[in-house]
Amino acid sequence: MSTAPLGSRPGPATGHREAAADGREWVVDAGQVWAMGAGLVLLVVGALLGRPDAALLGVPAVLGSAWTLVSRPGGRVRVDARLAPSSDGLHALREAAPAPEGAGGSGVAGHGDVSRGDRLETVTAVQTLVAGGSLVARLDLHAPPGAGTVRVRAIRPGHRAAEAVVHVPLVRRVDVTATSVRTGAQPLFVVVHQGIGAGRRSQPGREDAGTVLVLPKPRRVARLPLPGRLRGLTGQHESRRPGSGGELRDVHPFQPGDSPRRVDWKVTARRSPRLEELYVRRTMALGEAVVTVVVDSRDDVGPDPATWSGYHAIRADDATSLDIARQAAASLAQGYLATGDRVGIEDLGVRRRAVRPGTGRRQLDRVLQQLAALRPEGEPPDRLRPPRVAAGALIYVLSTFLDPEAAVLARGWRRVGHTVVAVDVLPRLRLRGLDRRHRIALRMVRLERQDRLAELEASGVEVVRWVDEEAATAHLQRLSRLSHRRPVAGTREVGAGHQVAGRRTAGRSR
Amino acid sequence: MNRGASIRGGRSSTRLPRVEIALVRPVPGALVRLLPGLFVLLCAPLVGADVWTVGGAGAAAVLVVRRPASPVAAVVSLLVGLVVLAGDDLLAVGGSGDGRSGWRLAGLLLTVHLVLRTAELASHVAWRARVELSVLGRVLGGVLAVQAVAQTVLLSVLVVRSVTDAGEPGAGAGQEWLRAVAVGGAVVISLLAWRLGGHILRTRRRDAERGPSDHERLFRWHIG
Repeated sequence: MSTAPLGSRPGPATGHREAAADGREWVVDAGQVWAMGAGLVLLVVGALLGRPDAALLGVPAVLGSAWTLVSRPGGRVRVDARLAPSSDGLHALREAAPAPEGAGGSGVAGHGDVSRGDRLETVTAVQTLVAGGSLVARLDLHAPPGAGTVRVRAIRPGHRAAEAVVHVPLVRRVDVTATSVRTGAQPLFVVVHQGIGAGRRSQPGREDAGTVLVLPKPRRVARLPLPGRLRGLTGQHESRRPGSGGELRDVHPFQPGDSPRRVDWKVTARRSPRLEELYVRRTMALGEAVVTVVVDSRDDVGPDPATWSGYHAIRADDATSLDIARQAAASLAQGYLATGDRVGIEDLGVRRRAVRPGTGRRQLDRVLQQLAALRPEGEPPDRLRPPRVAAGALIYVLSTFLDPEAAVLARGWRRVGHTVVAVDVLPRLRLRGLDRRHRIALRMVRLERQDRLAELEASGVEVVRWVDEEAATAHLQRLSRLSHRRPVAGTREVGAGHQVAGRRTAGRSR
Repeated sequence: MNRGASIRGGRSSTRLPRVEIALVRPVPGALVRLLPGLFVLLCAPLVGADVWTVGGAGAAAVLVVRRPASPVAAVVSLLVGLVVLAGDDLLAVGGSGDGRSGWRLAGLLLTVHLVLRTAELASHVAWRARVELSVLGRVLGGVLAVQAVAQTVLLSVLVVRSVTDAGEPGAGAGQEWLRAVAVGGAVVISLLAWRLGGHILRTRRRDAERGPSDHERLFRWHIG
């Protein structure tokens, strides 16, 4: 994975729709014309009346205007905008990926240029959702001789635009910064620029700094729960099946197929001094967990319920439910992959997006990329069957649970024996400023949602609220302790509801 | 529920996070916008100290601050010239100025020029924008270059007048040839202005036919 600096290649001159090849794009300021007119009047009238004092007052205006005749800027203003290679709160670019279909452009290969807006640049948000990070774009301003000054206006959705008049001695580099708590694909900056100089101004131009794909920052989770059944013969976790690699299971008389190296001579000498029978030490097998993270990307709601209709913009400094879901899923994936487990991603919104269970560092990269690419895409089609998950997989369902679909799926998986954890990613709501109708509507939605979550818990699905990260981590660790405990009759297993006792667990073995 | 939610519309932008542009020694745009008004006010005591002058200067200052792109700055320079024309000759040898009228004229040359140039700069600066100090330095450099010529001309006129009026004080002898040169110069400059004016008119007509682009609207909206 390359981390080549973005500034290594000069960007092409783009975005100058109105630019001419020469200085004809420069127009004289109206104020300059008026000043020259006034100066000429004073000069002529003062000369005719023999009043050099009055005539002299017209001299600076006329001289200044005459200077503009001979000092016309000879070119055009050019601005190249690109993502800065590193900045406060954000890592350097990790890789440049071609833009997905529909993102526009042709997907130019290589690093270092986002000026055409036709590629997605991938950055990693270092800051948490609460703290926010900084997106920095680097502007290379090129002004022709005679201009010297460029007016720049940087625009970003959800932000107040900034405007500046910048001194540009032919070439100048300026950084533009905005804070962001959002993850996923998002526009960087749009820069509108205009050259100023010699009593003239150039035609305004527009430069798009492109789109960036901000990856979610995983949160470190110390211990995570395990599914009811482990898979494979290798892994970091001890399974309940006999095998090799794990702790002592029992001491058993030697049978055909047992390895002679497992013979425990001390036990054999104690139990069978005449060596009529050999005893072997049998151990537990190791295994790996299969975890499927199901993200409900159909909704992307902010903390302000007034924006849920889609007719009002969500503030740029508000983390949405999908931002929280991305961070939660990334944290879970990182936690499991770090211990050698297999993690896959399923998307409830679009069926084609799925990361099959895998393991390793590359899988984490794939998962993060996939999570960052999640976004709502219109009205999702009705699902006829739930996403396919591996047998015995631990399933996390990340949703706002504002509608029943995710809860129905979770209950279905639980019914067929999966361990299911529902992660509630609804942001902490901001109720200030809601009118009466909104409050009534919100109350009804919340009542339905509470019933839905209660039903989930009753059916044996653990519900974790991720918006309080500390509490969520503590909850997961509690589940982890329960899941790592070896079940015996009468104890409760992870995934079982509070009212469900360990009677179900007695007949199950890993 | 927000299916396929997109950022649309907009609420009050008062508390929205702001995009930051890293600048070298920036000054607030509001200060730049106020500069032409300040120089208009400085003109007032140099032209005259009566109430009408000060009141007019105040009104002109407010206008030029609110609408720096309007012709107010040019009109102010014209009015200053007409007021000077209506009064005594500031360059008359042995006039009523007690020797200070020359300094008054030099000050007026500078302040009127500053009004014009700062208004020109302010017409490109929004109230909430920021301006690099070097931009102001660049404008000041242009002003100083022109002022060097203008003040030299002023000094030359004073010297010529003192020489020509030395024989016949107060008679204004030798004014005719100076006047002829000035008229000739004015005609040449008028021809140049005609050419420039034609170019400007053509440009403006072309712009009017084409209409403002989206980017121009953005800037215009922000400048107000």
